[in-house]
This record gives sequence, C-alpha cells and structure tokens, in this order.
Amino acid sequence: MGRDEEDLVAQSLTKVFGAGDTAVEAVRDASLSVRAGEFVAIVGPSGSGKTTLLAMLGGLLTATGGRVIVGGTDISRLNEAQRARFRRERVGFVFQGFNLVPYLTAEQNLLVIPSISGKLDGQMRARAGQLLQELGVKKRARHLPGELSGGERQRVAIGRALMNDPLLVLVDEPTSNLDSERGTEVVRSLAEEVKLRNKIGIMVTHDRRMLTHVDRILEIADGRLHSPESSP
Amino acid sequence: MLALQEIRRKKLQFGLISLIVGLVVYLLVMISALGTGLLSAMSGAVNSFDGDLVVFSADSNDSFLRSELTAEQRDAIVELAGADSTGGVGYMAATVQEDSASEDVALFGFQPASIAVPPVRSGRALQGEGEILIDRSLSRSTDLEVGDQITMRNALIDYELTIVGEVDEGQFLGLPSAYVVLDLWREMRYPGQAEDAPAVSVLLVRRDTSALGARIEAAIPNTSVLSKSDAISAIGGVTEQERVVMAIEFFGFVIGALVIGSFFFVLTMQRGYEIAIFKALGASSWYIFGQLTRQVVAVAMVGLALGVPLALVTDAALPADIPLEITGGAFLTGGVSITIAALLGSLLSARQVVLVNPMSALGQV
Ligand SMILES: Nc1ncnc2c1ncn2[C@@H]1O[C@H](COP(=O)(O)OP(=O)(O)O)[C@@H](O)[C@H]1O
Ligand SMILES: [Mg+2]
Repeated sequence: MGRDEEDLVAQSLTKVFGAGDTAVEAVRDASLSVRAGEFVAIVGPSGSGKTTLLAMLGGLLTATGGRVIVGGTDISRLNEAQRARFRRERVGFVFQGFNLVPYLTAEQNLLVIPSISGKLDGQMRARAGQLLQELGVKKRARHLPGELSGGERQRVAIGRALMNDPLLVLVDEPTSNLDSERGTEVVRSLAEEVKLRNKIGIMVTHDRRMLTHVDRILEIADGRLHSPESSP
Repeated sequence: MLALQEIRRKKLQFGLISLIVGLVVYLLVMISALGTGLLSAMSGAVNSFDGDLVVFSADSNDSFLRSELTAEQRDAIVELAGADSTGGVGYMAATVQEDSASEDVALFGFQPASIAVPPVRSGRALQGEGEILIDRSLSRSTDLEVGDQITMRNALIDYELTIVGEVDEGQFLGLPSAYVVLDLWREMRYPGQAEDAPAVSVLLVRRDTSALGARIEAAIPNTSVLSKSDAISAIGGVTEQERVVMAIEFFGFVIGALVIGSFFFVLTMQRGYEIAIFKALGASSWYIFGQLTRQVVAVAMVGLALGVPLALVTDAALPADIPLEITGGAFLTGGVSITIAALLGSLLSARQVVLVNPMSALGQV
C-alpha cells in the first residue's frame, strides 16, 4: 500500500444548504490533505462551517461540489449505502454532543459498532472492555449515559469512535462540555492514538486552548479554509 | 441483543403493547377454538367415521338426512370396493328418555363387523338389538351412564334399550351421537316396511385405489361419492359457519396487525434521534429494520406467553356445553397469525426508518 493510499485529500469542497434566496453556503471551496499519522486541528468561530466540513470528510454529508478521497476511496462517488459502510468500517466520529444511545450502557454503546457490522463477538466485547479501561471509565461500563458525567460521556464516545480501529478519526468540539484542562488531556490522548496507530486525525474546535498537541492548524471563517498567518 | 436492551429500558411501553398483543392472541385462539368447537358439534361424528369416501344416493343432495341406498346399490358397491373396506351407516334423529328427562340424539345404525363399527371407550360393544352405545358428550351433559335403561320412542313405538358402552365419536348437527345396530335402526326408521325399505343411509368406503369413487358413480346408478371432508362441508350450515369464523379470524388478524403496526410506527417516530445515531455511525436501514423486527418478534412472543394461558384458563372455567375446543391448531393459528400480523404491521415503520437523516443526530437538520 502506497503512502497516499492512507491519506485524506479534499478538493474544492463546497456545501450549500437550501436554494434561492435562503441558500446558505456553509463551506466554500475547501481543500486540504492530511497524512496518516497526522493530527490536524481546524479552528474557527461558531457557525463558520466546521461541523459541516467534518461531516463531509466523514461521508456523513454529501458535498454540493468538490470531492473527498480517503484511503484511496473517492467517497463523493459512493451511494448512501456505500457511504454508511464506509462510515462503519473506516471512520470514528466523536460528535459534539457525544450522541450516546440513551438506553444502552457505556459498554453497549461501544458494542453498537461491531453490532452494526454484524461482528459482535467475544473478541469485540474484550476490545470494548479494554478501551473503557484505557480511557479510565471501566468502572462505568454498566451505567447508562444519563448516569455519567460530561467527561465520562466524552470518554465513552471516544471509545466508541475507536472500536472499529478506524483509519479516519473525526472529533467535533472536544471541549464544549468540559473544562479546558480535561479537554487538553483528551486531545493529547487522541493525538497519541493517531500517531501510534497511524490514523488520520482531524479535530474541529472554536477553542484555541485545545491546539497544544496538534501537528498542524488550519483556520476556517465563513466557510473558507486557510492556513493561519502566524503559528500559535 | 441491543434491540432487547431497549425493551428492558422501556418496560412500560413494551409491557403495555405486549399485553395488548396478548389479548389479541387470546381473541384469535378463542375464535379458532370456537370455530373448531362449532365444526365438531356439527360434524364430529362424521369426522370420526372410519372411511375415506361416503356414498350418498344421488337424489339426496349429499345429505345424511335424505340419503337412502337400496340393498342392490349397497351390494354393488361392496362388490366394487370389497367387503373389508365398506360399512353401511343409517342415520335418524331420535329422542332418548330416562324417567321424565328426555334428550335428543343423532342416532346412527351401523353394520356389524364392518368399518362402520365405532370403537368403544368404556363398557362393551353391542351384541344385539336391545342395546345402545352413547357418546361421551351425552354422558357428560346428562347423568346417563353405562348400565342405564333408556326408552327410545319412535313412531309411537317404544324401544327399551340398555346402554352397554360409551364411545368418543362426537356430535352431529349439534346433537350427541348414539349408536345401535343397523337392523334396529332400519326397524325404527322405516317401521312396517321390512322388505322394501332402503338398506342404509350412506355407505362408508375405505379408498384403496384412487379412481374408486368415480368407478362407483359410473357403475352404480343414483350414487354420489364424496370424500369425507367434502361430505362434512355438504352438511347444511357447515360451510357458512366456517366462512363466518374465518371472517372473524381475518378481522382479528387485521386488527392485530394494525395495533402492533401502529405501536411500532409511533415508537419509530419517537426514536428518530436514536435511529439517527445508529445511521450516523454507519448502520444500514436494514440493520435498524432488523433490530425492529427482533423487537416485534419479542413482543409477539410475550403476547403469546400471556394470551395462551389466558385461553386455557377460560376454557377450563367455561361450562362444558359451550362448543369451545382448544386444540394445538388453535394455538398455532393464534401464534402464527399474530407473528405474521406483527411483522406485517412493522412494515408500516420501514419507510420511517429509511427516511431518518443521520445528520439529525448532530442537530444539523
Ligand atoms: N442543515 C442545514 N440547513 C441550513 N443551514 C445549515 C444546516 N446545517 C448548517 N447550516 C448552516 O451552515 C453554517 C455552518 O454551520 P456549522 O457547520 O454547524 O458551523 P460550526 O460547526 O462551525 O458552528 C451555519 O450558518 C449554519 O446555520
Ligand atoms: Mg459545530
């Protein structure tokens, strides 16, 4: 497998919501490439198009224009079912609101991933236990999301994102529910994971304090992506 | 596994729907049992006949009440089918009297030493004309029992008979059956016509070759041969009764499907958020629908587990003269139709599942 097979390349990504007078151009002409093993942050104010961009990179949202190639696959050409498969096999999402399934325990939320791939077995159960252990929430394995603190929920969400050993790890606003100290800690462990397992890591945030452990920073404003004028 | 977790966490919702499904199962089992009970009250004694074909006289319109076969017809049929595979049966309505009580019965006369002889459950077989066998349904609904003397009045002649045995042949036209030897039946049915009277009402034939019925009809004038099940359907009212029961069963089925379908439809709408999470993580609509189907089956099973004992308890509690016959078939009908109804009902939610936009999990729609 060549090096570029493991990269992410986005070319001239555009997303327009709605049409006519009410059309919103959430992302305009965004291009970026991220190598495997690299952890990149995209920083920008609220409403600048971060979540929209991340959703397009992860095959959750179809772009209005441009294309995304991940690990050699042009996901802009995939149909809905193929994109779903791409997400469950190659992408790990940590959503802004964590989005844990409320009626499943922490452990079962991790097991959703093998379950939707039809691969729920003893090995996957062991992996879930292992991840919860590493993330320090093993004791909470049998608790429902409603019984967990914000930080614990986030760690469960990260565990879930890593369950399928994804090539692409996407993190949306890791700190919005946390104090900044814990947030930095989470970013550091994600950055380590990306390095160690040669993943493609992309985090979007409005919080500049989160940028300490990243390899590279991009800025987004009004849907336009650009490199920062000065390093942080 | 994950699908069942949701049931565990939403016990009240799923408990209520299971209860309702249980009641629908109960209804379906009871309707089916009533259908079986009615059918056996109308035709149980005919169904118990040991024979595959029933030969009627052609001008009787295949009615046990009107069919009359002459001795010549009977002999010709016996010649064609073989004596070992035939048996003559006579039918008439009669009244059994013991002291001041009287009871209507469906009286059958049977040809001794033929396939028409009913097996005796208790007591002994008939040995002569002064004896009668009664069906279990008669000994259950009256205090008649083996050993009793009864009077049977017909055409102003009283026949004194001893009950020597009990059979389990069932009822005919809603009346408990009773059995005497063919000669006595003939005497009672056609008093004073000893020589010219018809020999039997119908002839039972065990089919050993496939075209036997057609051969009988072709060779012997004024005969009509029906399979036993067709002979039952030809009994006045049986077909109509079966249609009514089937119609009620169908409505029960449709109502069951709609109730379950609506429940899961509403449930699916309510959990758009959860479904969106699954989809955002890459679950296919198939997967989600598969989970839904498991829940549907689980609800149907719990419903069965509630409805079936309820039906058994009801059956035990109801008096014996209500024609309710709970059979394995009733449970099968109830169980299979509720499961099918549930699965059909869940199809209502399929579109709902497909339409959920995974982006709505992110609050971005
Ligand atoms: N489904 C949608 N329909 C219409 N407008 C949308 C939709 N999703 C996002 N937007 C708009 O696109 C812009 C970017 O949104 P978003 O990507 O959520 O920004 P951020 O994550 O940086 O806060 C905002 O103006 C938002 O209102
Ligand atoms: Mg956002």
